[in-house]
Amino acid sequence: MTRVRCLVQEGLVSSERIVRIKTSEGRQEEVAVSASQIRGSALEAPVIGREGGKILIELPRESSSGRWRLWVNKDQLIESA
Amino acid sequence: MILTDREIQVALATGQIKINPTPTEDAYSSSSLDLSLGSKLRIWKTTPGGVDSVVSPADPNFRVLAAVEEMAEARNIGPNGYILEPGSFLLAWTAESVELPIRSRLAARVEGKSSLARLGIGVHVTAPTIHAGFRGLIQLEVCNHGPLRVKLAHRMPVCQLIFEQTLGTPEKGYAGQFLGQSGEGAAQRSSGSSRSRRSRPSSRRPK
Repeated sequence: MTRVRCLVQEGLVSSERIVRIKTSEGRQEEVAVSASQIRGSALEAPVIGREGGKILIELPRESSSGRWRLWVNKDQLIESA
Repeated sequence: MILTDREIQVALATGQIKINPTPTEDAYSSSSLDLSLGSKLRIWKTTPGGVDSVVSPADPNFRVLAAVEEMAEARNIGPNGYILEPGSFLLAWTAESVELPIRSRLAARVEGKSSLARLGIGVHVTAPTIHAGFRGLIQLEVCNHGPLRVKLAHRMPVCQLIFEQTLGTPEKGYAGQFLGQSGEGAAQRSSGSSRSRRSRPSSRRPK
């Protein structure tokens, strides 16, 4: 599973975390996720598409701004076999 | 297609649906499964008289979760329950954690229970979909639309899940499938635009 680098904060309940992900446009996207979907400072985020140096990922849940899919820079991604 | 109680039990037994703690027998109906109320609540603070506060969800800097942290009081449902006043609104979570693995081809809807609905209690605000791949506690948006004061209790049956089969596996169910591979499929994945994913042959689809 690919992961995307993020800032991790405590969530509203103990099993949740709030993460912030930097998009390729430089925006910070905020989403509440299950703590089990985070490893270190990275969130599980499957890759949906690629375009040049940008990667389209899908979030586990809808973000604060109402988005499910985000374009992020390739260097934000951690790919593991 | 909606899953019946028998199909839900099979899906739980085979790991196509994961719920923790495991639902008891009496949580099922013919075509749904009840979930219970967790102990944590977030109660939106009322605005003092004369204060005009506006929330702007479309503002790029708006952080709804930060707003909840700041503007919604964290409470636990105690042994005496929590009284939901008429017209009041709060956030709550199910006691059970739910997972719908992406390749299970299942999604769900969280719906209210008629026993609470007839008292005026709603448990979501037009956002009932539990998407394929979801994992975690289900957040409830609880509102008392009725005229009565209603006591909420920890572990009371609060909502029901209706499980539905999806037609096919969502795109994210294929993510990583071509990692480490060479050849045409891998080339499509790594150099193609997001549009090129639409041309993936259906024969590659997993069960």
